[in-house]
Amino acid sequence: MTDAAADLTDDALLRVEGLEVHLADRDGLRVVRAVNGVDFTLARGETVGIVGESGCGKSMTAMSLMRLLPASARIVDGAVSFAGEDLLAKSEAEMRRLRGQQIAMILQDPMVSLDPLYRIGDQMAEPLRIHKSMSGTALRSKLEALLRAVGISSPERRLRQYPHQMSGGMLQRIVGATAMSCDPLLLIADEPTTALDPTVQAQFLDLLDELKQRTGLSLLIITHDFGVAARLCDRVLVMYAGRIVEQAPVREIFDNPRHPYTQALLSTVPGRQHASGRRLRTIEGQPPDLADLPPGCSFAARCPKAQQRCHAEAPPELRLGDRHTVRCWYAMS
Amino acid sequence: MNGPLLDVRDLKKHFAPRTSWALIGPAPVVRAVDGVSFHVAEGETLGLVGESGCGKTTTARLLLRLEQPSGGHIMFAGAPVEAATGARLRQYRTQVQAVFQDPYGSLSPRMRVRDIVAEPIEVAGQFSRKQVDERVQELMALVGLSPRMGSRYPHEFSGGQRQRIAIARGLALQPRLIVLDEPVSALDVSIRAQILNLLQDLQERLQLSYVLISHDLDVVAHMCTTIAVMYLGKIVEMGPSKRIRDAPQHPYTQALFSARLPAHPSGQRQRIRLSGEVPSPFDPPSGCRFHTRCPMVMPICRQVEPPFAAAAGGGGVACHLAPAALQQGQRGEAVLSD
Repeated sequence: MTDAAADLTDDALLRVEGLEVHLADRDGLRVVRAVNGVDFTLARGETVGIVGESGCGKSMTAMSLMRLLPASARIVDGAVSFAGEDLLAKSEAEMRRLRGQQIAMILQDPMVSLDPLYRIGDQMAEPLRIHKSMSGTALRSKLEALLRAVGISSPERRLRQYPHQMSGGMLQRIVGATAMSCDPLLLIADEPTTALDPTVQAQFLDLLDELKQRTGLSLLIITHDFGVAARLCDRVLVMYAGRIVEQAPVREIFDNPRHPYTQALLSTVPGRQHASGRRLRTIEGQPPDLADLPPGCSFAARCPKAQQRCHAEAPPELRLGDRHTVRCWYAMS
Repeated sequence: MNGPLLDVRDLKKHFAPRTSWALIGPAPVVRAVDGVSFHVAEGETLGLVGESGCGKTTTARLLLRLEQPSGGHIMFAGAPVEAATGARLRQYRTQVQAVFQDPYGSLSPRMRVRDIVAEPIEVAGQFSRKQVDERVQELMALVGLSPRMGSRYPHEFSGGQRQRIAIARGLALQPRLIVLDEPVSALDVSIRAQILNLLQDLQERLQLSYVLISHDLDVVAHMCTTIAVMYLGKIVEMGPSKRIRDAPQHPYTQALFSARLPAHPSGQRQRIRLSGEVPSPFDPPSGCRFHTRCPMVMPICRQVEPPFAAAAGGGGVACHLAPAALQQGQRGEAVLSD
């Protein structure tokens, strides 16, 4: 683990060290390095965003924490400690007691999280029945209170309805309410607003913000959108090809991005770049094949600043400031 | 050419359910598009924005004549096409093409890229094998794909490359207007910029007109000459892109643009929160359709539908509060100025 991360660990709720996840290729011959040595910590009450593009390993990292990886994926190395306990050493039965209780998750599409054949009330009740042994009137009034807390009116009626009777924004709020039902310490949200309209997205992010303020939970948000990070996060980790290439407090990431990939990502988004010209900046090329990673920096092939050294040697994690680290040989220049 | 390339007037699409309601009463009708008017000049881009269910995609389908309008007119290059059939409809459809959101769903997985791009040309007929091949090569080069890739299948391409293939196919018949329905929403951030740049380059080179539908207001503001904001089947505000973004006048446009994510952690916008949900299009509210959620609602809004009047700074707005509308006196019901 790096020094930079070590400084923050006094209050760490979650600590991930050297996490490596491999995926077996369909023919089993090639090893896809989906997560390739990831270290980070998450303090109590902190909101951290993992930002990156498809295939960078951000969702695999999140799924590793829940121990919900697809069958073809394996955690081959690393350690994950949560509230002082080693998550990777837990049995499946122990994990089931944690999931939904101490660690909850919200996925991108609420229709995936909810079963179309069950009433909202029955689905919301499940974690409370299992983890808190609640039932009857106490359960019902708890569910109604949860719905009210996420801004859903006439909860008695909503609890009897089926998912198809509600809008996407309302369903995502229900998923959020369910995730919060057992007062988790950690909420992992994987692209929680990508499927929503902008107005509904803004409402849902407000809701997350409010839940965070009220309960003091830690929030890990997986997103491709720097705007989501700007809205909600205290700290940002930028991932590329299975590695964290830069991490810093959110303002530092926006004001002083040092990795060429972070810089490029920030400047490709319309309306968010400094120049107001008609052409957007682009990142040429494609991310590397994760089954055949180059020996050097994995961004070197697309990097405008790459030198010979970048192609030959992978850069270590450099510490730039108090809480700012970057994997780039030329981040100081 | 005089006049705009595309001129849409009072366009309507009402959907009636197929089941018979004869015994219960008149069938409920969804007024998905309820009288929209706009025009698009050659080489310009019109953006259609609004929340899910506002009618923007139905409007696009009407322009493509994938739906039959229930009323109104679509004038294309000066000729009405809303009721065109047979050869005239086929002719129109060569001039207007579409690129959709999901490049995984819009390309046949069983066809080689070369054949996907060639298909519209072959369907149009009148070209030799050799001419078709040449045109395919030309199109692939135009969208930045190596013509050598023509023998591959769509699954061998990344999302961004697939969207290039879809664009090449859309350009095959040299259309004058392309309807872009969420063309970059499914793409990664770094690829998104490449495709948006490509669309702008093609527009300049080929003098194309675009109708762009997107829920990403930053993309729309970047790409469009004009933005039209839709709510429950109507255009509530329209105007030059910059004016809509920087000085929106309709409370709905203001709320929509205030919901954009901040560009910087310090830039938390003053959000205008809308109460409630979009009302059912089966039974839209009386008067102004936005009055049930409008933070500035007045008594008149519940009764009288605001006219679409010229707005200061260009374009127009349908709101009783808009200053320009007030100045124009609103004739009949102008009790406000006295």
